[in-house]
Amino acid sequence: MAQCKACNTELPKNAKLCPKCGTKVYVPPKNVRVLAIVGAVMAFLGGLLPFVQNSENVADAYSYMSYLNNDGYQYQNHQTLWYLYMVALIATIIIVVLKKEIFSIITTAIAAIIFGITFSQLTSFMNEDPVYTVGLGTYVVVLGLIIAVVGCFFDILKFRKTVEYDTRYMTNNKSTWSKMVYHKWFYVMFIPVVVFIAIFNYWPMLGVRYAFTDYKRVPVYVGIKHFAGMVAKDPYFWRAFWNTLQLSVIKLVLNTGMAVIISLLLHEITNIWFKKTVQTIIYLPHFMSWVVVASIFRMLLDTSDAGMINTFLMNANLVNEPVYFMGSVEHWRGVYYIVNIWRDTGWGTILFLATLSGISPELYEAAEIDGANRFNKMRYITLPALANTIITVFILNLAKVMNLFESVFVLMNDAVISVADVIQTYIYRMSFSGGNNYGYTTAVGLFKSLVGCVLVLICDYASKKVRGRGIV
Amino acid sequence: MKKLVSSVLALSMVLGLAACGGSDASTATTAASGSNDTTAAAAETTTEKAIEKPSKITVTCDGTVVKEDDNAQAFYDALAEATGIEAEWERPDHSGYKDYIGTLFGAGSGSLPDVVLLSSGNYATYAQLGYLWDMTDAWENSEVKNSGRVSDFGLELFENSKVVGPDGEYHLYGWSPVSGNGCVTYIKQSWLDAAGISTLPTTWEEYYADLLAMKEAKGADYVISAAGLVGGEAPYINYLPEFYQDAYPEFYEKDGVWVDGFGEDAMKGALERLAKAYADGVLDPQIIDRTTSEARDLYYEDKFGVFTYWAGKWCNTLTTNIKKKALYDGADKEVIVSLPPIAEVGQYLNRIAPQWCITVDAENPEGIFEYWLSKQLDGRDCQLLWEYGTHYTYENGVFAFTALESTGNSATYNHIDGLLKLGEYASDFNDGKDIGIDVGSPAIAQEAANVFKSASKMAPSIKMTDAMTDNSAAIWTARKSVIADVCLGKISAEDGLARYEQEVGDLVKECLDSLNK
Repeated sequence: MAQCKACNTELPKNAKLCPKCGTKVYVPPKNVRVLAIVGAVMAFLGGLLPFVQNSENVADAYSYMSYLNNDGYQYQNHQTLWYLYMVALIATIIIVVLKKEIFSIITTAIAAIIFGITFSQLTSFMNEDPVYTVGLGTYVVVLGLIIAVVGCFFDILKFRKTVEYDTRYMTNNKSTWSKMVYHKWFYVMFIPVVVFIAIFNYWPMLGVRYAFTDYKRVPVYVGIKHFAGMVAKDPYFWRAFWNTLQLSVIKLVLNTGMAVIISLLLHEITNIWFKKTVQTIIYLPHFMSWVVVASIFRMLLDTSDAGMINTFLMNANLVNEPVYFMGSVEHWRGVYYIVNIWRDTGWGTILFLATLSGISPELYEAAEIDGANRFNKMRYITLPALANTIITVFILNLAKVMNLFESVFVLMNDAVISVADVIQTYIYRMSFSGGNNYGYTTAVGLFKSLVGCVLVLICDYASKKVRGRGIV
Repeated sequence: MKKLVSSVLALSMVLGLAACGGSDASTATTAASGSNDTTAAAAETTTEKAIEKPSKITVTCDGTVVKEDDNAQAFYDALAEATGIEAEWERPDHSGYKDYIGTLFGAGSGSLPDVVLLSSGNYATYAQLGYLWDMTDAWENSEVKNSGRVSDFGLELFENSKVVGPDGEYHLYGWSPVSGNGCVTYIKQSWLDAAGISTLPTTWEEYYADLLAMKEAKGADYVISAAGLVGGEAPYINYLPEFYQDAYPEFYEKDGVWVDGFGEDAMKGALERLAKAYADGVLDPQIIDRTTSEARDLYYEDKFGVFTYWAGKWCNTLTTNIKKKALYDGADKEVIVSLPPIAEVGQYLNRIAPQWCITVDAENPEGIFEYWLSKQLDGRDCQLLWEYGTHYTYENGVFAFTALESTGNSATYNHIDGLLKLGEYASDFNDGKDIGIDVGSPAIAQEAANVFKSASKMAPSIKMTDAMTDNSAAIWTARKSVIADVCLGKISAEDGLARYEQEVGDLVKECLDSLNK
């Protein structure tokens, strides 16, 4: 948090004047160095990826530079240019970190020029040998260089304004390195976490490269073929995508709504023993496997005499013949939402009940004195107190809407696939039935992750607006 | 600090560059050496160079081999002793085996076992993708093929087991010591009696009339159930053959040209028969949802009377379990009757058996084939009958099986079913001669197997191409959805086929073009 130079008062976000002494204060612009660094790193990584890709053998691309030189290609200095390009980018990063932005634009420009020369040569090479196509690295480099150049310009503009900025008032005068040394054992303890996350969370991410290949024993680079096929060719991808959004969002709204209602009702119960018993009972379904839950509801909804629901409907003369709920597109989604509510509503009440228990009893007493009945107390005290939690729960869960699999997988069948198929079941089917098209399903999975990532960012933004802090 | 960070960042990038280059180079080298190994191996076989015996191999298979709960270790030890090769067995859950295999091969070359048991669909897929070792030469030059022990039928099956490899040519990538077997329609005698049916139907008309008569006589909700309206792997139609008749919902070769069976007129007739049977209450209303075990259990509980299921030993198992449920009231009669194929079906389909395959990760594929895999056809007792003393005994010329822990039932055979074997086998008993199919095969099972054998044909072969790999799952999604919707009466057969054409017509055409290339 920034402080006023005159009185050391902590300054609110985006304040122009100190709220205590009225001194005109300067709030430094956001640190955008990260933009230039990200761009330079992207361009660097792009340099490692294939600029030009043999469309028949993905392994060819990795040794492209040496291949060009060894093959007697007309530009013998190709590899040297490549090294210069990489060095320029490393220099860019170092210069940006050292805050010598005015020089970073020079090194970034050098890298861009070198790339331009290299790429023009590669283009002519591709024309000579059509088996080669533009590789993934080219796209990454172009994008990275654009970001890097823009980032460098931003840095130069930003730091021109910060000439009179005094860092002593922004933080203590200890360097980060000194702090790290001082807290070194915390960092040592942190190492296992870093290693764990690197191995189990980041290392598997390398598999996304197969989204650009036909996955065989020797993967064949196919560029964006799978992404194009996913969007334009496959008739069932978009259906699964929209089903995912619809099922998830409606389920989220219903589950949250039901959890709120149940919480309010539980909150009204004064007999503690009864309240705890009910709570325990409604929590239990959450701990059941989805397979068990599906079996229970299949039994309940069976079309034979064993099906309790159909037997009831028939005996009550509400239907003339048993309804095949699990095989009807008209009923399946309704059943799905009910099953989800039954299983997860109880668990969802925990947060709301915790919030409700934190409401001051004095508020209720005051309301009673003012003549409020139970409904009015709920309307004017309980619900407003609960609103922030409801929004928080909703936002946190919104980030997970793409992760719908098990609940759908165990309940769907061929008759309802048009309304039940979601992205994850679609990926499962494409991976394990038919042609085992792993390249394609990796591409779909990557797309799903990107959508999920965007949703998380949106939720983070919404969370900051609503709660004053992000979702993490 | 910032200098340090920048230096570390730069250093990590350089190291990353070096690591990436190194890794790729080694991968490429491995791949190259792998293919060289394969080529060299083939050369070795043809030149009859001495084949080295592997000392240890890794094997992945499903529950068709003796289950872990049934003292599989005794079998492993006996097999290791018989072959002189120690095997490390990976035994995933039988019901999840398909997913396990998908994950296994999804991880790519480098982590595959030496030997893996694959279903016919996976066999064709992974052969085409280049994960399986081409054993054509090894088979042709093998002692077992030239021994005369394998029957002509067996030799024909091996020929039919050839599938397309990464080079687009047919090769033998898998190996099975038994025929694939197929399904026979079983009718409960009690249901026939209730309807007063004394003669088994021979045509679709008679068959359907009998189904309706049995439904009425028993007052049943339905007469037939199965695990879905269409199977998940070839030959797809084996659980409802009378309804599909001459229709085959997959690409198959017809007079030398690959066609889409789902788009043919025969499929329209099949869909109409399914829809009518569903509307008439002949088919289980929840047949779409049923799993195999659910359908079996309902059959045992006498919820329905006609069940098409595997021929041979399963006839005995069904009979035993129906009797256990005490629903059988005719001790002197047969519990279930095997129905010979009706005229419109002509012949039941013999599927391509699950194949024992050697993967490209195996260091010594020739040795594995010669000393471990092909030995399955020499009829070792531990492969036919499991382990002596643990799973069976042989005293005074009589075989006796012990009870299995997993089911409580008596053991019958190991993964080589005597009813399905492909030739004569030597034995450690019976004066070295084949022990015969009587062992572990009750008369009722033999009878069902004979009904099947006397009227069965090989299921259409499977061919995979790049286009098939890309589009097969989407096409099957469309097929299954159309079958379900037509059967449930949501749309007519004609509209269903039109929808199929509209949704995946382009993909089908792409597949056909690649198959006929």
